[in-house]
Amino acid sequence: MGASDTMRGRIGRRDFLRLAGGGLAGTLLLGVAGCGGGGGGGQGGGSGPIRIGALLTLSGPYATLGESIRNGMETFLRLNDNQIGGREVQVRYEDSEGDPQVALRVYRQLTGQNAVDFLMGPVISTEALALANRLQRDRIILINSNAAANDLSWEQKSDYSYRVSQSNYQLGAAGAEYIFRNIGKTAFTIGMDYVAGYEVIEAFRIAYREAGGEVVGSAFSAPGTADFATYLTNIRRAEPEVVFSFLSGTDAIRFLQQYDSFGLKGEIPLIGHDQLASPTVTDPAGEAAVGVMACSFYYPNLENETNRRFVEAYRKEYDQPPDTIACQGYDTGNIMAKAVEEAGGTEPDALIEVLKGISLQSPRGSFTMDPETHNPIQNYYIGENARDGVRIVDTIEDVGMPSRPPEGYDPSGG
Amino acid sequence: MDLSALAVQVLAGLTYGMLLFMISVGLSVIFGLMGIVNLAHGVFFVLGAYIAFSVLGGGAGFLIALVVAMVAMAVLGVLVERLLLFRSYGDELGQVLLTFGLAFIIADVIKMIWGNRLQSLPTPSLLDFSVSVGGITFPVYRLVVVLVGCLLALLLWYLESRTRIGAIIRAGVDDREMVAALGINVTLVFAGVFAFGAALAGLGGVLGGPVLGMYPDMGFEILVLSLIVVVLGGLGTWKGAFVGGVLVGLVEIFGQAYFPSLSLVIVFLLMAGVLLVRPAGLFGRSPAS
Repeated sequence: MGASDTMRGRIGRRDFLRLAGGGLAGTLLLGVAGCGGGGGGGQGGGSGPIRIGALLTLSGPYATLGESIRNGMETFLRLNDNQIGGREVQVRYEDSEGDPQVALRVYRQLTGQNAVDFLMGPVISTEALALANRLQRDRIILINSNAAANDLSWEQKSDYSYRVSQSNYQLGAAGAEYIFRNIGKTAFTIGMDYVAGYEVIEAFRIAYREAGGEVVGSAFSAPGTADFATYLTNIRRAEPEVVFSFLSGTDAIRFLQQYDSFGLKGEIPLIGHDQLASPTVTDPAGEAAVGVMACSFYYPNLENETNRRFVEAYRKEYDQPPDTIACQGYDTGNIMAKAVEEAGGTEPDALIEVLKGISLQSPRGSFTMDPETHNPIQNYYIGENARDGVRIVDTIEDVGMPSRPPEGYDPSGG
Repeated sequence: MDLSALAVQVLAGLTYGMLLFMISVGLSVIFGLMGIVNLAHGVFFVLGAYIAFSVLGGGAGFLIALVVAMVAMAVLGVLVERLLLFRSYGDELGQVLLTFGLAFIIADVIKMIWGNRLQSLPTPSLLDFSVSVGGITFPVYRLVVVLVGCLLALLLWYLESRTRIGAIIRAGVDDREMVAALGINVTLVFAGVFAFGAALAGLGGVLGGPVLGMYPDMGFEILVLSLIVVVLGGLGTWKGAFVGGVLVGLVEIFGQAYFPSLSLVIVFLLMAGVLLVRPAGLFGRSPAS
């Protein structure tokens, strides 16, 4: 507590630069919304603007994720005349730099002097975990736009936090049964060597075994691995019928290319989470990505009216198709709007009541907020990369996550 | 761990090592000869790859893209040396600030032109297949990278030991003033060496494009590794860069495979170990001699 108070008074160079240059919208907001309903959680029905504090990673290696969420959110607001429940919306974006300590400081900035009706973000799970116990104390409702740690739905679940993305458990387990039935009975898993990687791969292992499959080998590669030769050789020797990957960004691109150049592509089917079908990965990977499969709750070519409008508006503004992260950004605003409408205002207790079990029309199709886990129950789609985009092969309906760690769950990578 | 997996790792380590050799050799010789730590050398590697990316995008072949990128880097190298660096000879702090600042500027220019995402170069179609020997499968393209690296080492050996320019450079590394006093146009030699080093960084970037890909900030990552290679191998010698590059490449690959959690520190451990035994690096001459 003592340390946190001293941090509050310190304004770093970055903050200064952000205020002076980048955060034009933010500084304007400071002026406009200066007087509110008193500090810390003084929200209410009110008729003034709806104030949203966005705590996102906008610099460093995860900056693109934060940007996609912001773009998705902004697209939602553009499509809705910048209004929620008939009230004007003011969003203040702040960079948490992917660092839990900075996230706490930004949290205090956003929720301190200017009472917010909602908090949105963060990108990184450690940031979300750092915030978890503050939310209840300050009566701040967080719409979790990305952070996927399972514990946010289990041990650290809070009445004040609702996730519109997915959990690591879903990331791993959603496609497991489909993979067993349709692709292969034995699998090799490869995941990134950090907490989320272990959670995802463990969820896959449990769900795949439950379906009847067997994981015959696994590997965890350091984030930023340049060369997958060793893993590729191990995969070949394990002779699995399918490879399941949880690799993102640069790692996913290199893995796809090397999977191809080491001659594995034609031999052993490869499937992964949404990244393996995301244009950010498939464009640079080129021909190596064709035929590779993914299991994701969102693709830009899903056929529904909400998505058509979303993709059109998003493309127009950013000149590229939205990805799953941008869809999460859209739904961050989407769920706020629906909740305010149903609760008839921004009173936290009323919002909590409607958020549990709320149903949304999302670009991903409709989904329901699981009242047990505060995590979406949603469809997942099996996609296959073709030369002209992703072909959607199958739908796995209403995938949720267990409300507590299942028997034998041990994400320690052992 | 059986032999076939070991063989693949050795080949992968060699591929990586050759790319490190290509970038480090320029860094090493420039430092040995001119006393400049060119912290912008890493972005030469990346910029070369991006230029090849655009040339390939225009429909040209891989070889043409490679040559264009190398020439572009050589020209950039001369411009940097002639217009900026020459002002700061003898001023080490100035050089560090200048070249590091330059690296940031070039990285930002790359971001502006090509965006922040990872891109990669397509493997030249002629080499885009893999061979299987004795149960191991390996992409031919990487074998070619290893071959090019070895040929480059051979060329450098020839240049150093059999040509006049090699003799000048060797002499320059030992005693710059003496070389100048002998009436050799040091300015020209400096510019030439700088251009050659930059071109080789570009070569590494382009050849590495299909294997490693490239992103704007990659230059800093590769710079750290190549500085390690230079320190490890000893300053001012292509041999040091060659052996250092191969060593770092192998340690990186084996480290990632067997001790993934140590992968960030393992090359530093290697460097510390070597410096304990040979403070001037493997092929460096100690200052006393």
